[in-house]
Amino acid sequence: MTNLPDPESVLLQHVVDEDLLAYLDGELSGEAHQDVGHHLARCWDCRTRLAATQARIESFMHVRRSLSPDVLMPSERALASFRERLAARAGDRSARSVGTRLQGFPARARSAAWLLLSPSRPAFALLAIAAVAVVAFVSWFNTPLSAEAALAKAEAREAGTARRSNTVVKNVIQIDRVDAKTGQRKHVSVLSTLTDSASPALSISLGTPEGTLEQEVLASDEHLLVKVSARIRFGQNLTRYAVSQRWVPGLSVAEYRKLIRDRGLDSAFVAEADGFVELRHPFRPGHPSGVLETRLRLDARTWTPTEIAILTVEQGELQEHRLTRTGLEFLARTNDLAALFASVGARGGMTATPDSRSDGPAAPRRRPLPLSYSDSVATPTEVAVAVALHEAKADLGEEVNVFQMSDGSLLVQGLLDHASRKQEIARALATVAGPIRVDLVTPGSRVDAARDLFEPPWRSSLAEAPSLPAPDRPPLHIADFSGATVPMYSRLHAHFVRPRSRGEAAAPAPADIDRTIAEFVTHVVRRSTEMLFHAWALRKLELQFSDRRVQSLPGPSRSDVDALRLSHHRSIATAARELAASLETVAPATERLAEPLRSPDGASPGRPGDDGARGVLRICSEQNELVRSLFTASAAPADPSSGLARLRTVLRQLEPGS
Amino acid sequence: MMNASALSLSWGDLRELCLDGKALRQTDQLDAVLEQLYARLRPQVVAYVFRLVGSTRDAEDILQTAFLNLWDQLQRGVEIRNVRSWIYRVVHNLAMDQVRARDRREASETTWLEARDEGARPSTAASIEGALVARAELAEALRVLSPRERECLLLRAEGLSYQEIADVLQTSAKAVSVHLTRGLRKFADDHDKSA
Repeated sequence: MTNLPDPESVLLQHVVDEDLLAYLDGELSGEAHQDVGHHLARCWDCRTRLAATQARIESFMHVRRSLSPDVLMPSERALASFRERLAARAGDRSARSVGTRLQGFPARARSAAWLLLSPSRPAFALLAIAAVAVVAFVSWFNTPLSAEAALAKAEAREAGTARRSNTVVKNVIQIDRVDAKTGQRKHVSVLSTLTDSASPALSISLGTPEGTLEQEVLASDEHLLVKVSARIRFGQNLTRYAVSQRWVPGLSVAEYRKLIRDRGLDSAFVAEADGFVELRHPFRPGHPSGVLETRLRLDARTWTPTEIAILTVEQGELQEHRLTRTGLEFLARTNDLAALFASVGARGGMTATPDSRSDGPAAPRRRPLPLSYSDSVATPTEVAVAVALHEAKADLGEEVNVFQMSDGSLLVQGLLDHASRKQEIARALATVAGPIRVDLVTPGSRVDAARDLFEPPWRSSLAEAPSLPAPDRPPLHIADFSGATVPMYSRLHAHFVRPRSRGEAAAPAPADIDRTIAEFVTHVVRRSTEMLFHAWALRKLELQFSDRRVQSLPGPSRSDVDALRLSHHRSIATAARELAASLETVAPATERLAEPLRSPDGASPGRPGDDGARGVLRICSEQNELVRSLFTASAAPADPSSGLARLRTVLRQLEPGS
Repeated sequence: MMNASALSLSWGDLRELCLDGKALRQTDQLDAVLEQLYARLRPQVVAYVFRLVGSTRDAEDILQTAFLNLWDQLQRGVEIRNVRSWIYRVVHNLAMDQVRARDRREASETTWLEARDEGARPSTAASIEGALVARAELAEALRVLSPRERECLLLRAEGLSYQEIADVLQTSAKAVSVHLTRGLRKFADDHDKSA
């Protein structure tokens, strides 16, 4: 007790708040820390404030904890995606030198220390090779799915299926109210709608547990919500908000988008579970609509919405309105059904004339719609656009489509991975004269609610679409290499372990071998993928510029189309030649290989000339499958010897003069 | 040669290694070390960035970008004294860039919300219990803080010292101390009011 300072001086001055916190945080210097400690020992007042400070920290930490992300991607997946970006970054730097060097494979690579740094264990080497090799195929798999990207994807899907001619769509939606505390579901009503493909009219019927069933035909879906809000027991504030957003009750992504447009917050959450993706969009606290949060549940396979939940506070009570799809049917538009809608047609629903009632809002303006290939012919502008897209390399695996619109204009629409690509493509298109609308979006960008993303025009004419790495990719697949093997690894290793030149006596270091193998594999896989993309582009050209569609084109435009085709053919031949040459270095033609694998359908390989682009595409798909099964970690590895033999046969067909 | 995948380094080792990028590059272990650092720091840093930008995807992306910068730096032989606070500084700046860009984008849009705001009633949500309400409420709770106070508190909660926070925010340790104290007081006052 004797070394305590004089109590008087210690008590003289209270500790300021800053120092109390710094004291707790261990941020005071030794002497100051001691002084404060002594003061606190004596002063109840300051001790109370110290406790209050501690309590504030605790309540802050409590809030902070609740602001944690719901779902974090698994760490292996994050690490794989990080590895990829690291490899890509290093690749950017040495891309040019790698490209030229690889032409002259197997000249031994010297730099590019980035590929594989030191793994001496084959397992790690394989993983790294796989990670590098799959960049070309699956870079999109490893990025975490954002709520916005998921919404954009679902929207694109929906736009593609929304317009079917001569079809009446029947939607059945069950509307429930869920007790937020007990989770108990209370059935409220069933809303079923028939939507006409030829007019904005729709027929609704509403069933309630009491058995009442009302049927009515409305001129458009505009007043649907007002009609049914009482029946589906939406509160006043929610109804007012939803009406102001022009939300139409139902399970539509575009409509859901309207619902969350003015929620006053940016955060969104996405969770993936088996079979579905759930998006959650919280609303700003105290939002006038009384909505706390909305949720959209999507089928993970088809991306169609299956459930929408709206959580609200109404008169101080927590309510959940849940809309679940229980039926979706596409009915042929028979005369009977058409007659149903015709009854409102006279009032202006079917034509573009505005509603005659002065108080009603004007009928929605008709937007131009895309025409199918069979309903339109190619124009010189369309050819010029195709050429420009080709020059920007936008025809190789990216989702960029050209549509002839019903108002005579051209729409170039694309969903791109990066904003920089957007600019490049827009720049290329700037050189084309004519009525063109360019609409390029990236998954992260805001999609205007009024915008439609249309189904690619070629898709409808492509019943035989082979499995392709692009453009229709499984969005939730995760590349998994556990237990996978690269069949060619031991063969490649045996090849590259030999000294490259006579002067070199010793075998290369293990790290160098692995690096060389990784480079070799990257080269082979790139060429193979390129070939497939060109074949795919060729097939799309064939559909877009079919004989019928180019009939009325002027000569120069027709030669442009021919030049485009030729360019792809050349690229395929070049890549095939390079790939064959690379294979030659590791498996010389003189080497006896096993009996070639049969093609998957057991047929002998067809000639590419037999059925045009379709044949080329089939062969290119096969070579890509083979390359993937031989050179990348694959769950279904091919036998190296017979696989190589088959690959050689397939490639030979793609070289000119075969 | 050390085996990269079997390489298991303590936090101290990792810090030590980052001090000498040149040596690190020469041992061919740069990528392996970065991967370990990344795996080690990711959960915490992603959660931190998430609180700033509100999206896990963006948070993951920002963290990876920061690590690519780190790779560049170490590759060039730059010495990183305190790798953890270095990462926090870079992710913080990246996150702020993104938030600012977003604010600019939205500044021009008048929303339905603003048009109606005068008539808005006090939130009835406060009287409701349940985790659903809590999230939006709590996000709101942080809004009483000035951006600086929020930044200081969130960084302090990550376990950074005043000086490390000052380094991240390009300010002094004294200023950090003031922001922290004021932030906690404001936060608690607001909390008491709404409770």
